[in-house]
Amino acid sequence: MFCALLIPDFRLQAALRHRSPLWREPVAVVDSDTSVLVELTPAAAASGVCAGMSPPQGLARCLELQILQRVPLSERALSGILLEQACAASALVEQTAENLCTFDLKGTPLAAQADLPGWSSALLRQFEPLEMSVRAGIAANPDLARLATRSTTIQEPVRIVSDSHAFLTTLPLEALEPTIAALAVLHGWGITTLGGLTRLARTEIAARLGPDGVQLWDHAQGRSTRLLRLVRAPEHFEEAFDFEHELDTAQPLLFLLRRFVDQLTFRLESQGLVAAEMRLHLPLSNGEPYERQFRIPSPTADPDVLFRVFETHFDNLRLKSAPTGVRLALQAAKPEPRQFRLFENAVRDPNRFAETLANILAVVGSGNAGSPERIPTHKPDQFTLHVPDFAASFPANRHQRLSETGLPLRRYRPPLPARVHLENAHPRYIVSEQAHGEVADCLGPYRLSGEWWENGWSTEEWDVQMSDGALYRISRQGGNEPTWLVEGCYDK
Amino acid sequence: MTSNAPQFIELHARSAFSFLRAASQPEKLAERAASLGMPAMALCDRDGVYGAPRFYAAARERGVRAIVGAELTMEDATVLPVLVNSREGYQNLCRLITKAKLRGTKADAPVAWSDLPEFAQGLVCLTGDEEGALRQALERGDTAAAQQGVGQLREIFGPKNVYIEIQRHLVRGEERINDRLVQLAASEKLPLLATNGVLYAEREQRRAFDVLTCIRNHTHLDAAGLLLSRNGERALKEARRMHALFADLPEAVHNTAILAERLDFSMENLGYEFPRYPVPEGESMDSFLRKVTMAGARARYTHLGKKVMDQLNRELALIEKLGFAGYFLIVWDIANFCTSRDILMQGRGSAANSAVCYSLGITACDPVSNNLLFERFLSEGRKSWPDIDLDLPSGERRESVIQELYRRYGKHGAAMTANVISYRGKSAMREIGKALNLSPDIIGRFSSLYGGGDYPHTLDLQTHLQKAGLPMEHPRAAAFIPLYRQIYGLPRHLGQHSGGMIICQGKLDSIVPLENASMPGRVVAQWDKDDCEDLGIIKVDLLGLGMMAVLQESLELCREQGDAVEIATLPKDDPAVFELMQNADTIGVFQIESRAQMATLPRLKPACFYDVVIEVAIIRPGPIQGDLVHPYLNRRAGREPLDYIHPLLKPVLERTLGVPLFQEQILKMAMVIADFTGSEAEELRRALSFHRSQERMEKVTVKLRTAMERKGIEPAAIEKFLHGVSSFALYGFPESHAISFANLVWASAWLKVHRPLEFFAGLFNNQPMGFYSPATLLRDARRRGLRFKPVSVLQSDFKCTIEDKQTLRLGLCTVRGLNAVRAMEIVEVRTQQPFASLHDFRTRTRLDKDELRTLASIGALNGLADHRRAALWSVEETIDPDDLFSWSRAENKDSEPPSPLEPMTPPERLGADYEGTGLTVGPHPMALVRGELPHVWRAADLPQVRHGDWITIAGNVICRQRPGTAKGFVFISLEDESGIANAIVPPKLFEKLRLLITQESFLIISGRAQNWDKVILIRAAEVESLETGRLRGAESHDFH
Repeated sequence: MFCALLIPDFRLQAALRHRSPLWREPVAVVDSDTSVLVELTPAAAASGVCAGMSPPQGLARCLELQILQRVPLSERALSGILLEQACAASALVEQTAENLCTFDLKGTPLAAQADLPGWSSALLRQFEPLEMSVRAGIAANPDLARLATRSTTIQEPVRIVSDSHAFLTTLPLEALEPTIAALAVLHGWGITTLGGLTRLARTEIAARLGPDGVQLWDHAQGRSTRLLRLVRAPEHFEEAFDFEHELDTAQPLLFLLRRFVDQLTFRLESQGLVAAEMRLHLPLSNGEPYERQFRIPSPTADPDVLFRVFETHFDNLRLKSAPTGVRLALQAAKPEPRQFRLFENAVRDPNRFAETLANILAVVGSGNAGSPERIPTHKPDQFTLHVPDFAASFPANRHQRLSETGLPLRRYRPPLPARVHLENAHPRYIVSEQAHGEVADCLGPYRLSGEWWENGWSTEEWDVQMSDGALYRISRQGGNEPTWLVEGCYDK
Repeated sequence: MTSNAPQFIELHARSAFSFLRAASQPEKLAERAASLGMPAMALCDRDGVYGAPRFYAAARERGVRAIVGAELTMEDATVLPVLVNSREGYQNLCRLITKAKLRGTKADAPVAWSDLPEFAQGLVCLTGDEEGALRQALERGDTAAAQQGVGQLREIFGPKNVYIEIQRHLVRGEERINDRLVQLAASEKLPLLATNGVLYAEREQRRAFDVLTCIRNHTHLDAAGLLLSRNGERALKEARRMHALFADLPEAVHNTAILAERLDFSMENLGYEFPRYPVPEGESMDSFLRKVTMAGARARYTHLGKKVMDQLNRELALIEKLGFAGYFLIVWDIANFCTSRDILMQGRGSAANSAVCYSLGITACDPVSNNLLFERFLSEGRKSWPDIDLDLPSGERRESVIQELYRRYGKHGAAMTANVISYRGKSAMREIGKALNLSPDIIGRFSSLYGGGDYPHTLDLQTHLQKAGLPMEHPRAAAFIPLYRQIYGLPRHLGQHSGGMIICQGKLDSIVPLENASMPGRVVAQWDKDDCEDLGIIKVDLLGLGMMAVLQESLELCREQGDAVEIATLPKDDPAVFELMQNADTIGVFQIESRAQMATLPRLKPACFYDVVIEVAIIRPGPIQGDLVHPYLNRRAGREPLDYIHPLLKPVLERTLGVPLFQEQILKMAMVIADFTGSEAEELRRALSFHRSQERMEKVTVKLRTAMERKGIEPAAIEKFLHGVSSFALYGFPESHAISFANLVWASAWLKVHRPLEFFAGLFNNQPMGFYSPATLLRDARRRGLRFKPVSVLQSDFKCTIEDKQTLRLGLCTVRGLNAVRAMEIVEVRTQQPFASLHDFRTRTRLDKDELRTLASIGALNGLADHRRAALWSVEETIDPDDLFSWSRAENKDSEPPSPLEPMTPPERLGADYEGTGLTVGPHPMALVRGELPHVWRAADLPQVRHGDWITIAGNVICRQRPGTAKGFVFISLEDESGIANAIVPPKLFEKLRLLITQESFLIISGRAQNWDKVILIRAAEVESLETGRLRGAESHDFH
């Protein structure tokens, strides 16, 4: 016997996850590729909205209809949970579709011994705390089990097929999930149920719809059996521990982390894998967990290297509240094959460099260290800092033609406020922390403005030479009451 | 302005006619130049002179001298601005652009550097802005290339005709390039020229320009980055500011005035000449025209009386005086070509006011007996060419006339006029929404709220946006509204006019640049018909009219049936035809089939041909907006006394019961009541038809008022008269045009009454056309007793055919998705040998599976299979070409194996019919659900309803209409198995249920019945969708 677990209204369930009150309201999920409504709540259906309508057509039927986009992340999470639960129930599991898992009951002694309805109901109850609605179909072969899930309802979430012929006859064709083209042909013939299909001769179907049609016919008969395409639950390299008491110091935490790292790297090595990333999760006593991800620049299974990351991190870390537990997950990767010293990396020891950078970031704050890269905008001084890819080789040639940009500008960050006296609309005197005094000469104005569609900005820049010969860039920021700033000084 | 005032002439500006490369209309640029006190300005649109006529007209009105130029995209993707120095230069520019455009594709037609020398005479070149070759070389630091490029330009254009262009946009780094430009100008001894490279008239329009940049680059503002403008400095700037900007280079600004002085070409006279007609030896064009006119008059008038002769002589004398004889002869020649090819043709428009046109066979109505005003067509004061529009059957016949003109005048001598496609409600929202990175849902919903029409008048923009899901609190909503206003109306791209053609004596490509149209074999000019008219270029409108094609086909079918009919000899007093009109039984009849026309017919009760003319003219935006419809109908019914505004006007207004319905009446009234001369009447006509200028209208109104006051006309009469004039300002309709159309109305109505089979066959064979879908036409024909047989591959021709005196067989042309060539092949193969079986049919026709499925599902294969499903079963079977025994199945139908499938049910057949052909010869979908709707009135039962009764109607929505004149009311036509019921939805209810009304194909409407003069309308109070499950209906025709 085989059991299939189905998440009905999969896209709707994903979109409404953790928003259960919305189930009582008219809601529909729209597919952004086709721009049609794909799934809807009972309240929406009761208002006359149907799947396949365009959003305006849906709104025409029900003005209160809430139209939500699909939530792929949530869909993936639901798929993952379904697979985990199926794997917990049996060792022989197939992920038949993103919302359907099929497994063999052979390896499930409880199911074999106990009554199937009771066992399956208990299985479905496990999903309730996860805010998921799942239905089950049980039958003699995998495809029949899958079809059985299609005839389940909210009231009868489990369907056990004992008489396959009687069950299949009335099932709608769509349950077989034929291609759109095949479905159109069959509908054109007036065939709407599996019984209707199987009443036609298999050879005649073969002559008209080819091998795909024959496959459909066989499925509709419910006799075909096949081997499951077995999958294994994703292997998690994770260790976790809940503390009996809140921790006061970092020492016991580091001690535990060292043990985790040792055990996890041992498991990795036994499978010929290395760690590419570590995820640390610390539940805190105030209820807000502390989470951190650590990318390993040069993936490794060396416990000393991995543990040093935590040592450095906890050196400067001040948690808002005491940890009540710890969870460490390692993301595994295959070791990168590299011939010894044949190609040199950008840095000799990427992990050591990363450690140093982590030290700097701990001091200057996240996002305040790295290589600057200009943002494509006309707004001055716009850049982001990128942490370099330490493991990469040196680029072949990073020299680019330097445009003639004039003298280097040393920017003040933030720019310094100033008072500027104008004469004939040109700066004449400046009073500021750095530049102070009479302006001997000036160039400008240079006008820049942008992002007028949301947070508009405008600035007028001048290059000024002070009477002492110093060169500065000053700017007047837009608005009704303009403010002057000294942006920086030029190196001469 | 004093002579000492600083002068600056902008010599490098683009308008929105550079299509997505600039943000201001040419008129706006001219207006701004005038307000800045600029005495002249040059417009250099990209790769054309698209905006030049509008710029010229607007600049002239404001006292600014318009200089012509263009930016040329060169083969190395650099851009070279050139300015026109003389007429020769203008002609060279046009020919140069034409050469590139006809050589390239619509999207990519660069000018070859090697072409320049041939066309450089009379042109001055600038070195360009950041897209110019010189600036790009200097940016690269390639001074040698810069010098070489300048040398090349000097060689091509001559040393006095090359200017080093210099611009300052207050951008850091530009002075580095400018220094080098100054050095280069000094070393090469070339003059500097300051320009601002204008992209918009005022700096606020920089935002619109940024959006257009995004549209052009298929990106949005958040991602456009460095593609966007740095600042808003590329607006038109006044002399004082340019002098301040170039205080260190005063000669660069001064040179603009010197150069502008040199560029003395004006678009006033382009040297256009209409083709000369090749007359026989010894004849002049005038004498030959007189000869052929008189010959024609003798044929058309049974008696050439004094009145006719006087009129002909008066017209011929004026034509001779104005030098238009050649034009009349050329149009006569086209008319002769049509006659020789048996192509139905009829002149329309004001040409029908001319006895000469009538005598030449160009028009069909006699202006003398109809007492039409010749001055409406031609007058002494007229500067532009007269307007002769020819209605031709749409489709291949009209195309053959167009191709004949190309053949006669060559690719460089004839062209279609352009049609400027502008940003309107939906398109403006779509593009701005994309640029602002709004969700596609919001953009889609905004469009859906329009329904089938583009009618924003009752939904202000803000509410429309809110309903679409863009509340005012949205961070980008504030930017949207001004952008929408800036971009609305800007040109988006150039299409071709449906029928306007211009021809020229000599080379048309030296008058206006020509380019390839999207349609193969067509060449299109860069100007639209109004531009051409403004510049004195004559156009002949060869308009395709679906009804002409229907009439032509119906007449041919009458001839084939052995009962030939001639339109010209149809009796104009047939009581049966008037009865049809009075009963508003006019579905399919030209012009008077619309809901509004049908609502008027039972009130107007046409009883003579002139009533038909009035019926055509009265349901038009002009009379409706001018509140003229009800006064006319009330006076006709005796409910209101006659009022001629002023006793002097009685002779003019008598036949329209004192209501001015026609342009001719307005002109004649002006001549009578304000003593306007023929020339002044012409000025009034221009103002009435020149819908682009409110100012022109105001000027002529002042003139009329003054003249009437001087004549002592009482104020009330003056106001009444001026109200009539202003109503016509936008939608004037000439009486002659109404008469021409009334001829077609009469012919189509006569055919519907007396030759319904031929008439409906003609209608079905020329779809899509008219107000109704084929499904509605078919039901109407059935109500007249006609029978229809479905499409059958054994009997149907490509077109619908007459089977017997009451029966039409639907043709293969009605099958959706069946390729026309394949459909004709079916008929051809069948003619060689009838199909013996479905197998035989499939083997010999080789249709693809989709086509076979469609034919099977609509029952077209029923003669070869037991029923539709049996055919569907058979066509799915793959035929093996190597099957040696297949011949036995090909021999006869009975050899087909039986189908195991059940026949289709009636609803299934109905769905398949609508899916496959858009119509059904079976029952109406409403007949299938009638049993479930006991409280719903059938359309046929509505005459029994009393005024004010609360009733419910239901049906398939076949038409939604929201005319601009209806103050927000929406008219909905619901079709059921018995006929059509009409409902009117008040604006508030429509706004509340906008999506329901515009999206649902079956509706139930409840409300109070209005029954006036036998016209029944339900004023909707409740509207719901009628959910008919899987039933399909006809598609709605939506209008605005």
